[in-house]
Amino acid sequence: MKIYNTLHIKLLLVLVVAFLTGCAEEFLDEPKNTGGISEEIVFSDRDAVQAFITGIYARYKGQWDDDLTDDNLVNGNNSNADTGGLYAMYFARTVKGNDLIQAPSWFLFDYAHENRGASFRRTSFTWTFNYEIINYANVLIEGLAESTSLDDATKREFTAVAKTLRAFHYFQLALEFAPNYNNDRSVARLPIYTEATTVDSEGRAPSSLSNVYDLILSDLNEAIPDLTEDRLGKSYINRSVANGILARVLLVTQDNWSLASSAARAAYGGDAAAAVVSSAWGTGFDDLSDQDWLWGHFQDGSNETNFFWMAPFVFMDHLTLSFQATYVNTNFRDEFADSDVRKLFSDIYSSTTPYREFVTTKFEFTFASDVPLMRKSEMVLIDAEAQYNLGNEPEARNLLFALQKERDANATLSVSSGNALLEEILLERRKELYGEIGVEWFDAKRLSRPINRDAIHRVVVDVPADSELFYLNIPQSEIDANPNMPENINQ
Amino acid sequence: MKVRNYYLVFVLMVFGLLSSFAQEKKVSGRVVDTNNLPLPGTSVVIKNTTRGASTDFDGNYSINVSAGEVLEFRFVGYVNKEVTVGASNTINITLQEDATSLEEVVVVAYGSQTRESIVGAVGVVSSATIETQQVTSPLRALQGAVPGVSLLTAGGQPGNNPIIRIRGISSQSLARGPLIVVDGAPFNGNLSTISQDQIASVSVLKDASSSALYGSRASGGVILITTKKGHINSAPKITLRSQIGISNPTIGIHNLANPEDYLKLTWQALRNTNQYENGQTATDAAQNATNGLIDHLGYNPFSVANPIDTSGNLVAGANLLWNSNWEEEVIRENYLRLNHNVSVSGGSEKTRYFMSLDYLDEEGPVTPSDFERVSSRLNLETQVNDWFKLGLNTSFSRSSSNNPDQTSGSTIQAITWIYGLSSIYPIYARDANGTLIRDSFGERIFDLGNGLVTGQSVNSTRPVFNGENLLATLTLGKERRVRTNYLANFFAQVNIFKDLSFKTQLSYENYLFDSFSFDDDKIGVASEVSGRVSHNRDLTTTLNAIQSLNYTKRFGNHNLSIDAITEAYTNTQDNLLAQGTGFLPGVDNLSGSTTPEAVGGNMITSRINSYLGRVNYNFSEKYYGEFSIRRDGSTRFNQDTRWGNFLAGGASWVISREDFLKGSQALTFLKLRGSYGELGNNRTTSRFPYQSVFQTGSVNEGNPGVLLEGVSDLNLQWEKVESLNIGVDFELFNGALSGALEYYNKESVDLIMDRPKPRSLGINKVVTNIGSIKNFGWEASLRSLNFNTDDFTWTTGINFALNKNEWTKLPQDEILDGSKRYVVGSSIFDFFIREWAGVDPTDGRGMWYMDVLDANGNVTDKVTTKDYDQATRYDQGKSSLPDIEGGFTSFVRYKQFDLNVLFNFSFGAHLLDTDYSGLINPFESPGGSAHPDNFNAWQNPGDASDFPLLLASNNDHASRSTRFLFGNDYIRLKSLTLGYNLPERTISRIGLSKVRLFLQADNILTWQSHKGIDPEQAFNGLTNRRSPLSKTITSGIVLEF
Repeated sequence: MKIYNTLHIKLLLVLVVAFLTGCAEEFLDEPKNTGGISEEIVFSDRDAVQAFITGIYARYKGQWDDDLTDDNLVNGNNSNADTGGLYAMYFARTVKGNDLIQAPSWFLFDYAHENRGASFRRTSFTWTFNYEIINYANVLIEGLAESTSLDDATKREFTAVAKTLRAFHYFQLALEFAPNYNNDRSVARLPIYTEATTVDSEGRAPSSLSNVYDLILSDLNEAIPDLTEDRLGKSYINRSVANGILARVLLVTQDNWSLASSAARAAYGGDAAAAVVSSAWGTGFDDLSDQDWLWGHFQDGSNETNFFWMAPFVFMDHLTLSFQATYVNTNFRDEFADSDVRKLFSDIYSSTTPYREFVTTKFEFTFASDVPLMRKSEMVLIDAEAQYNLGNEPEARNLLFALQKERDANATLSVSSGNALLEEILLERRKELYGEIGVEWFDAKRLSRPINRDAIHRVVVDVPADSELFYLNIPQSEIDANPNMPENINQ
Repeated sequence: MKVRNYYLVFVLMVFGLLSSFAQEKKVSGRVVDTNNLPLPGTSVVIKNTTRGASTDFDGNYSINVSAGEVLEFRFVGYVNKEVTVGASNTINITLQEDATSLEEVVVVAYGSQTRESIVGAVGVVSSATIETQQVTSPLRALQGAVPGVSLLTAGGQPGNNPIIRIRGISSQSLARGPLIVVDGAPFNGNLSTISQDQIASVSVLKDASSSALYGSRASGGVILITTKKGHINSAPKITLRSQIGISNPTIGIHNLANPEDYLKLTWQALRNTNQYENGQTATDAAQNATNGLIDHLGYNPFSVANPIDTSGNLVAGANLLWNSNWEEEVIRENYLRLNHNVSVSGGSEKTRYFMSLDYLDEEGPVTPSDFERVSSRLNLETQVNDWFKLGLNTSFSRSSSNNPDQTSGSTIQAITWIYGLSSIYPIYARDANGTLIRDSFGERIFDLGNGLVTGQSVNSTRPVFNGENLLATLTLGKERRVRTNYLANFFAQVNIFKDLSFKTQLSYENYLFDSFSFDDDKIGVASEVSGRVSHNRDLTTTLNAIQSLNYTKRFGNHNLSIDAITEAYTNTQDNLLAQGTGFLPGVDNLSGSTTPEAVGGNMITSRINSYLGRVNYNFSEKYYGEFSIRRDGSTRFNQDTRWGNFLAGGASWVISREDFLKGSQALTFLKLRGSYGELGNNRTTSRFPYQSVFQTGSVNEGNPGVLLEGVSDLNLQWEKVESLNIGVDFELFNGALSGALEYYNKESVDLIMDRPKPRSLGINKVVTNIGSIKNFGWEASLRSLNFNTDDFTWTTGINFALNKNEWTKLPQDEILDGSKRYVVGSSIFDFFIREWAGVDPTDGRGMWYMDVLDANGNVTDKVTTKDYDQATRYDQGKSSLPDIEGGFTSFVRYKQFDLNVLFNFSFGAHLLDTDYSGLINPFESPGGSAHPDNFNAWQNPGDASDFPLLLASNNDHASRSTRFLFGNDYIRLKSLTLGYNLPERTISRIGLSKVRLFLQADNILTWQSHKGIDPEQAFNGLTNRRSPLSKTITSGIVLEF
């Protein structure tokens, strides 16, 4: 009898435990990926789409590396102060000129024009960073098109933003990785993708420069009518910014000066005198709210800051604890009239080393420094250049003077004409934009001019017009992984 | 009643007659182990008869036996003993533990087996082996002890866990290490939270059949850690162990140039760049180098403005003002290691227990990485009644350490700093004349190299590591890591019928990793924001429930055992981060923050549900067979692909039990065994590798942002390993020589790998099931008992493994992965790099080889080139994996003295020493440290040197090539223990049962083919500025009572 009693207890124990173990499929279905939100959710809600675009701007100013796809990648791009984001791409252009001198610190290889190798960090970063954003733009365009829950107005608006982004980054790639567009438009160095990358996507063969520019122009021309001036802040793209990008593209193509002028005007608002007013000079050049600024990186010193990487500030400011690495060519300094508010140069070191004579206080570094990416003043000068090329020299002089007199009360209206006037416009671009977007390099590249360095430089390299030093090699990693990229693309 | 008594008397009389006839008598006694603990259930058999008895709970036995007959005492895991019955009626026996005994009980998957019955490949390390070493992370004791287990410890932070690979590299992107199981439950905490004294044994399951029951996660092998238990019916035994010792870096780090040498070398590089790159005349080049040197470096450690003259020598009268030996500042010598331990074990008739408390304090090589740990354990088991047993194993451990960064890629990582910043940069701020700058209290100020005094033209701004000072970070900042681990493992067993039992086991693990860092408010990276505190609390919890039914039955010579098991595993990662800035001086807690900077946190879960079955069969303990199946569902895969089936089987044949070998005195044991089966791997880095989501957390102008993370393969499925193992075990002359030889071949298929994608697609890879890789090789272990007398024992052992690794399938012809290339037929770690062709004596430029191709792409010639980008990458036929690795042990005991040594060795591996190459010609950008070898550089046309000219401009001379690929053979005396046990008669007078004094030395000697850094770097053969490991000498005492 007793044996049956204990048997009951035993079986009961076993059953209770077995019951507690529950059902398998439910057990496995329950955990969800809490690491992020799915594509369906992103493209079901206006705010979520906006958040995707916000994420892209956050990426621009972050400390960029390959962390999104793999934080442990063997050949990955690691975070570095000279490859941290969009600002780093521009500063690499900045130090390639004659007006500024980089001490042996970050960007020293860019400064010495010895950083275009296929396996170098600069090359890999510039390629990967721009193509990464291009894919986001393609994901955005496709996701919007396929979404069933977004209204048409929302789709149109954000598709326009995505196309502007795509055009902007193909434009950067064309500038960085190809020779001057105007010399040979058939050169094929950049693969074009207009669909979102999937598991099965393969690398494409490079397309000709004319195809690349056709895409850039068609994207911008389609986007601009659909964009408005509304935006969440000045770090976002709106219609003015898209027009500004178009104006810059047309400075390179140089085949539609009237559109260049009208795009620039659309960007600066048409009133040159009002457009160029700025309170940034002498106050640190670090505030997006300045009316002159069209577009920039936003930083606020708390959760939105990238610490010690934000070029140009960390390099150009010698009065704050930072890298203190960028000096000013004495000859460039001498181009400024004493009454010019932009003449912000001083000799703080009394160094016997020639290149270390002058530093600039244009940029003041704090963790809250906003970074200029596009200003109305630049647009006014584009307009002036366009008017000059359209044969309307008086208008070109007036536009130039609108800026000059705002910066220097003693400025007088230019009396130059012909090439001298163009030179004056180009010089004004350098004086207005130094340290910001690599203006010297950009102008030299698009106009097939050399960059000759004065003897004062730390590294004196003369870059002949249309030299291969004006573009980077295609990264080795791309050649290795893309079967359609010719092995000898860099030869 | 009376009748019964009469009957009894009658029986006794008859027996008495019989026994007197056979001169039979009653012998009794007690069987104990060497610790004087009873061995209940010892079988006592009269040799060559079927008569026998067994000991009771107290180890007592009695048996009727005739004088002259031989009594044989047998207990599993102990050496059998035979005693001829003489005049005495009392025979007390002490059995010696047998480490290599065939009957030793080995812990295997979901149970235990005798070593004899194992059909697969299992290596065991007992507590005896572990005790001869001082391992803060317990599994370091496996190195050199089990063939086929490769182990290395990267960096010298105390408590660092070793990286373990069992039988090669079985996966490309997934976790390659073994599954760790502690007392039956998968372990997810930090191993360094378990102290070595708690461990009774470690089993390493290497093949498919032994690990098949862990099949879903066992592709990298399984390591089973079993903790100690008490003994039934034994008095409490208290063991005290105390060790105090001194550690030093084993090898240290590469040599570095002093300030004078550094300036001379930099001068040379500047002159060469001026002359050979910028086309200046030799005179101008030298003069400009002299004039520009200090400006180039930013700092001048000498008393004259231009300390190096135009010949490259130090000018007369130049006095050195400072010499920052960062290595001495940061890496200490003679640092302390303390370890105290007390344990109590014992048991009553029904209950047994083991408790232990361990305290460890290890300072570690890098200032101030003090590691302190307290760990405790209580293992309790009770037999409630004859059918019900309960047990609970619990442990609690807390370790805390400062964590000076010494393995990451950050600039303030200790070794990166030492290698990255030369000795000319001062620790404390100096003015332009080199005089120390002091604050208002007269204190020195850490030099951050980012322009402390505005406008100071020299000794102010460094070209590297601006805004940082390692010593400031280490002394003013705080990096604290606290690891708290709580483990509870409960089980209950019900014997339903005689042969059928049910067991339920529930284990819970709670591992809290608390990481706190404070950056000073005045000095360093956070001075701009008045200090920063970043505090992480990462909680990992694992709940694992196992229900199992076991049926064991013997039918004559047929022995059968069947298991049916289900398992449910839940692992949850719950992270929390808070970060804030704006602190008052002296405040470093988050509440003191005035500006919150970042918050973060996420909770993510993965689960596995499993069903398992196993059948074991043997015929007369001669023929063994085993078959198992496991079916797993994992949340790491999509619903359609989440279930995987894993089958395995094995068999063995104990040939020595056959009649034709039974009488052999030479070959006393011989067994053949073989197994084949499938194992799985789901241990992806991401918990949802089949999903690409938009990551949250980015922000722009106060708006929330999300970003897409790559592209994923929705059809991702289990990675599988097909594993074959064939082995033979033998014993000669009753154990004088014994050993095992094994061959294995395991192929990983459906490897989850990165399919490389060109960056122009906006991604760099897609993770998918592509490729197969094979590991195969031989393992051997030999053990000899050279002498064994009462006074003198000498044993030696050697084990080694020869492993080969080979790609068998790839999605494309070749995949380049850094310094390696994956092609079918080569290994995962074969170097594929450019080949150094030496220095051209005419111009001092480095050269590499390149292939010349004809129009069809065929190689027609191999020539040298000075353009690194043009040079061809070649398969070097050299791998970072060793051809042979293993260990050698020897144990000598003479009377009360004993000596134990363990060497481990590795031959045939290669190391690409980028630590070294980073110190060779570092002058292309100023500031980094330089190796004195740079003085070998080419200087003038015609110089024959293997070191190209130094240049202060961009060049590829130190880029990855065979120039920096070195053979990495080594032998290390991993442990040496010299002990003295006080004689028993002396100590028993003071009530002790054991007193042992010992000296222990770990990692004390290393012979290596590539000098300068520790040979233990990484399986992929790449250095990564790792801090040195420690060699430790301690003295200790063990007391038992």
